[in-house]
Amino acid sequence: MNMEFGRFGSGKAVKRMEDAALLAGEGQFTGDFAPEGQAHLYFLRSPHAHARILSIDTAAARALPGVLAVITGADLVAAGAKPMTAALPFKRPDGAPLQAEPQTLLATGAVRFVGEPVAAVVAETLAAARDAAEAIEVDYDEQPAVTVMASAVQDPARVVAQTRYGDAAAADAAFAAAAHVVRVQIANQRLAPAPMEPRVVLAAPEGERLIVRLSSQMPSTARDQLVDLLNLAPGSVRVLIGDVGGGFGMKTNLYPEDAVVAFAARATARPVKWAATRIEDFLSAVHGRDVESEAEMALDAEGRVLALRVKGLANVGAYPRNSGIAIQLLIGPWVSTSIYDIQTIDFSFTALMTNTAPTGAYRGAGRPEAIYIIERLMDVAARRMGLDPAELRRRNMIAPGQMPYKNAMGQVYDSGAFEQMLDQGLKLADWGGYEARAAAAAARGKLRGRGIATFLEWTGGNALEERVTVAVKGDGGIEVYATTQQMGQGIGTSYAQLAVDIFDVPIEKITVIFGDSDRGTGFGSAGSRSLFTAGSAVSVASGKAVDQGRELAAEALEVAVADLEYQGGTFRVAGTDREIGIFEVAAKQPEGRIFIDSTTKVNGPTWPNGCHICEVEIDRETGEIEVASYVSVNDAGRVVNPMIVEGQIAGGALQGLGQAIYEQMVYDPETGQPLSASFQDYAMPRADVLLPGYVTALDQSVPCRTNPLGVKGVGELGTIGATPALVNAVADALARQGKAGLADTLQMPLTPARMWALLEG
Amino acid sequence: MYDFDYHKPTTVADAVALLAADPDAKAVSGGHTLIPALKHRLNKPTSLVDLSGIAEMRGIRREGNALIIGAFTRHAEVASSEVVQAAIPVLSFMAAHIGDNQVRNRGTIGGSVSNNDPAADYPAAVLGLGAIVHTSSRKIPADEFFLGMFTTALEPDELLVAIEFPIPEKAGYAKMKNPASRYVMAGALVSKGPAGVRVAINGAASCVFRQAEMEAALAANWSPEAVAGIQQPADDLNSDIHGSAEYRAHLVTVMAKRAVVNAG
Ligand SMILES: Cc1cc2nc3c(=O)[nH]c(=O)nc-3n(C[C@H](O)[C@H](O)[C@H](O)COP(=O)(O)OP(=O)(O)OC[C@H]3O[C@@H](n4cnc5c(N)ncnc54)[C@H](O)[C@@H]3O)c2cc1C
Repeated sequence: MNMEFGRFGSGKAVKRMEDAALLAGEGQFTGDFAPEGQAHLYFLRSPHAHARILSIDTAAARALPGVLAVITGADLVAAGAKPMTAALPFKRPDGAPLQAEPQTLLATGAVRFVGEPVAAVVAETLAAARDAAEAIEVDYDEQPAVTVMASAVQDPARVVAQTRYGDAAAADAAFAAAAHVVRVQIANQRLAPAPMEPRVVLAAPEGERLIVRLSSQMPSTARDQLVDLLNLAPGSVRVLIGDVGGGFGMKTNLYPEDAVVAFAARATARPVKWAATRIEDFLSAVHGRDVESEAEMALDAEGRVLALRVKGLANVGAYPRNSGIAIQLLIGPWVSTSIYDIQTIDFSFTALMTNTAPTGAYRGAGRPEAIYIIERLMDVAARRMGLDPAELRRRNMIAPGQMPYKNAMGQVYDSGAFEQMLDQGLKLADWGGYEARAAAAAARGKLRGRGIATFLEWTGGNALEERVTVAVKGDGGIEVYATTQQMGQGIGTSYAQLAVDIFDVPIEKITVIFGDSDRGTGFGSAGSRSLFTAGSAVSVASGKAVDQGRELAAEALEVAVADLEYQGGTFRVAGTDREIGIFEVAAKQPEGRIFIDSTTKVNGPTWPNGCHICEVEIDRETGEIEVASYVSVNDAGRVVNPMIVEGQIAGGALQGLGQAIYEQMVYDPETGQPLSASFQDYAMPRADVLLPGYVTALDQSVPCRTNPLGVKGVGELGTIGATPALVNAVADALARQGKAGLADTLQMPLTPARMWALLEG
Repeated sequence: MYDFDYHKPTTVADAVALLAADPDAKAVSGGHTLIPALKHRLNKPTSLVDLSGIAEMRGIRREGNALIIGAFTRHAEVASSEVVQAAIPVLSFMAAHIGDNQVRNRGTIGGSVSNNDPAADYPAAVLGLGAIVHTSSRKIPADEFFLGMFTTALEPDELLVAIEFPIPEKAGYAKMKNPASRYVMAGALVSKGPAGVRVAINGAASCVFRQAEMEAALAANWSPEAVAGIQQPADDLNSDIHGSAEYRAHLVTVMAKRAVVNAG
C-alpha cells in the first residue's frame, strides 16, 4: 500500500467528494434541468378526506390559454394505465387474502384522502396550469371520513391484513408463571419524512423512448414501475437521477404523480415537469410510522424476560402500499426481541385503511417502532423491580458466544457484542455521575432525567445482490457505476475509498456514477443496504479489474503473472525495475479500458447495534425539554469513513429526537383534514437542538461475518436508538417526581404543552 | 401567484393615492407575510404598492423622550441599532428574536404592526410601551389601534408611516415560541414609564391585549412575585394542536414573570 494514497482508503475520514459541487450550488438536481419546450404540470387535489366524485367538468379548463392537456382518472383508465396496488401473501383475520384499495393514478369514482390527485393540467407555464386547475369543476358527495384506528378496526372493510407470530399458549404459560408482568399502551405517531428536496419529475419523449428524470432512491424500480403502470414497451423508459436532496425512504417507491407526469409527456409530446411544493409532499408523499401497540413483558424474579406479547395496529392509509404493510406486519417484528434472549413471543399485527395518506418507508421503517416498544418495556420493568435499567438490560442480553443467534422470529444475527457496547456507553455517559448532575439541575430549578436504549436493527431489505461495473480507463481514470443511489448520505465517497483500497491510486482518479437505468439494474438505496451490498461488489469488482490488469501486464511485459507485484497503480516484475502502469495496460486494450461487470452476493443482512444514552432537562414552568447530553456507542462493524458514519448516526439521532419531542402528522379526527401540512404546524428539529454534549463513538471490533468488508448498515441506527433513549429519559425525570404512573404512559411527541399538563396533573 | 400590477411610489402621498384609487390594491413592505400568501393564492390583489422606495417611511430617530421608528425599518435594523439599544433595549431584543435571519433582513416593523398577526412579536411592544402609531392621515394611540385578529384601526387607503415609542424607565419581554413555527405561543411585554405600568400579552389570544390585573399588581410592587400568582382566565384564549387554552393561560403568567425579570 502506497502510504500517500492510503490516506484516502477505507477507515479514513475522507471529505465527501460530492460536497464541493453541492456547496458551490453546482449540484444537478432534477429541478435544475429545464429542456427546451418544457411544459409544466399541476395537480388538482382532493379537498376532502372521503367523497364520491359525481362529475368532473374540464371544459372550461381546457379552453384557457396555454393549456396543453387536462388529464383525469378516466382518461388514464381509458388509456390502459394500471392502478397502484398492494399484493403480499398476508391474510386477513378470517383467512381471506389481503385487501387494499387500489389507487388509480388520478382518482376515479371516489377520493379517499385530502391531497389525493384528482386531475392534472399541463400548460406552457405553471401559472397557466394552476389557473386551469382552478377552472376544473368537480362535484363531490362527501362521505364520512375515518382517520382514527380505534374506529377503523371496527370495520372489516378497513382491515387490510393481519399477521400472527409465536406461540400464544407458551406465552400464556410464561405470563401465568411470571414474577413480574409489565404492560404499556403506546403509539408511534405518524411522521412526515420531509427531505430538503421535495419530489420532482421531468419526463421528456426522445424518439420512441421516454427519458424520465426524477428524485428517487431507486432508479431501476422507478423505470420498471413506470413501464408496468403505463403498459410501455420494456426498454422504452430510461430513468436518470441526478443529485437527490434527501430521501429517508420517502423516495423509494414510485408515486402516482410520477406516472402521470410520464403519461403527460407522451400525451403532449413535450418535456413535462412537476415539482411538488412542500405542502404537496406533506399531503401526498408517504408518511412513516403510525402504529398503536399494546405490549406486555413477563419477567422472572431476577429480571429475566420470559415472554413478550405485542398487539399492534398500523394505520397504513387510504391506499396501502406493499412497503407500508410489510414494514409493520413483518419487518418491524423481526427485531421486536432486539438484543435480548427472548424466545417466547406472541405477536399480532393488524394493518388498517383510513382516510389518510398512505404510509411507507421512513428512516428505520418498522425497527424504530419495534425497538421503542421493548425499550419502553425494559424501563417500566426496571422501575417496577427497583433495578438499574442498564442492569436489567444486561441480564437479558444475548452473549457473543450465542452467535450466530436465531431470534424468535427466525432471524439470524451473525455477530454482536452487546454488553461490550453497553459497558462503553455507560462509561462514556458517566452513568455513575448522574445523581450529581440531577442534583445540580434541581438546584437550577430543572428536572433532569436519564434514559438508555440498547438495541439492534436489521438492514438490507433482503436484497443481498448487487451488480456494479468498474472501468479502468486508458486516460487515467477509474469509473465505478452502481445502481444504488447517492442522496446526501455520501455513499459515493465510501465506494471510492473501497476502490482506493484495491487500486492503490489517488482518490481523485476514481469517479463513481449513479442513477442511469440504462447502465444497470439493481434494487437501489434503501434499508441501510448500499455499503454492505454494493460496497462489497465494488471491492470485489475492483479486485477483478486488478487481476485482469495483472494478466494483461504479464502479457505486455512477457513475464509470468506470478512474477508481478502491484503497488500504487503499477505492476512491477519482482526484484527488477521493469514495470507498467495499470492505466497504460488499459490504454493498450482494444476499447482502451479494462472493464469488469460483476455481481456480488453477500450472505445475509447486517445487524448494527448500539447503546444510546440521553439526558434531558425539563423546564417545569413551560414543559420544554432540553437535550442535555446524548452519548452513543455504535457497532457498525468495520467503518469505511468514520466521518460519514458518525454523521449518519448523529443526524439519524437528531431525527429520532425530532420524533420524540416535536413531530406529528395530525389529521382532524372528525373531518380528516390534515392540521400539520406545513412547517408552520409540523415541528421539525432544528440545528440548534444539537448540543456540544453530543458524543458519537464507534466500536469496530465486531465485524459483520456475512459480507467481505465486515461492514454493517448504518443509515438508520441513530434514528432507532434516539427515540426510546429520549422518552426513557423523560420518563425517568417524571418518575423522580413521584409520577411513575405517568412515566409508564408517556406518549410522543413530548411537546411542551403535553409535558406541562403531565407535570401539573 | 395571480398576476398583478406593480407600483413603486416614492412618497407616502403617492402610495396613498394609488391605494385609494384601487380598492383591490395592497401595500407590500418586507413581503414576508404577504408574498407567501400570494404564492399560495390566498390573496388576489390587482396591484401591489411597494413601500420600499419611500424615504419618509425609513429611519430610526430619537426625539426628546420618544423613539420614532419608520414603518419600513427591517427587524435586523431595529435589532442592531445603537439608538434603539440605548433608548429602548427591549425593542432590539425583541427584534433580534423574530423568526430567523432571512425574516429579520426582510420583514419590517410597519408590516408586522399593520398585519397584527395574533402570534407576532411587535404588537406587544406597541401596546406594552404605549406607543403612538403615525399614519398617513393621523396619530392613533396603541390602545385604539389593535382591533382584533389581523385587524387594526387602519383604513384601506391609510398607511402606517412610523411608530412613536415613549422611552420607558424599564421594560422587559419574554415569549414562549411555538415549537413548529417559532412564532409566539404566549408572550408578555411589561413596562414602566411615561405611559404608566403596562402589560401586553401576545400570542395567547386572537389579538394582543393588556392584562389589567397584572398592571395593577406591578404598579403596586414591581417584582416577578407580584405577577406570579395572577392567573389569566383561559376562556378566550387560543387552543390548537400546539397547546390548549389552559396551557397558554399558564404561560401568560410565566412569561409575565420572566418579562419582569428581564426588565431588571
Ligand atoms: C419563516 C417566517 C418566520 C416568521 N417568524 C416571525 C416571528 O417569530 N415573529 C413575528 O412577529 N413575525 C414573524 N414573521 C413575520 C415577519 O416578521 C413579517 O415580515 C411581518 O409580520 C410582516 O412584515 P412585512 O414587512 O414582511 O410585511 P408584508 O408582508 O409586506 O405586509 C404584511 C401586511 O401588512 C400590510 N402593510 C405592510 N406595510 C404596511 C404599512 N406601512 N401600512 C399599512 N399596511 C401595511 C400589507 O399590505 C400586508 O397586508 C415570520 C415570517 C416568516 C416568513
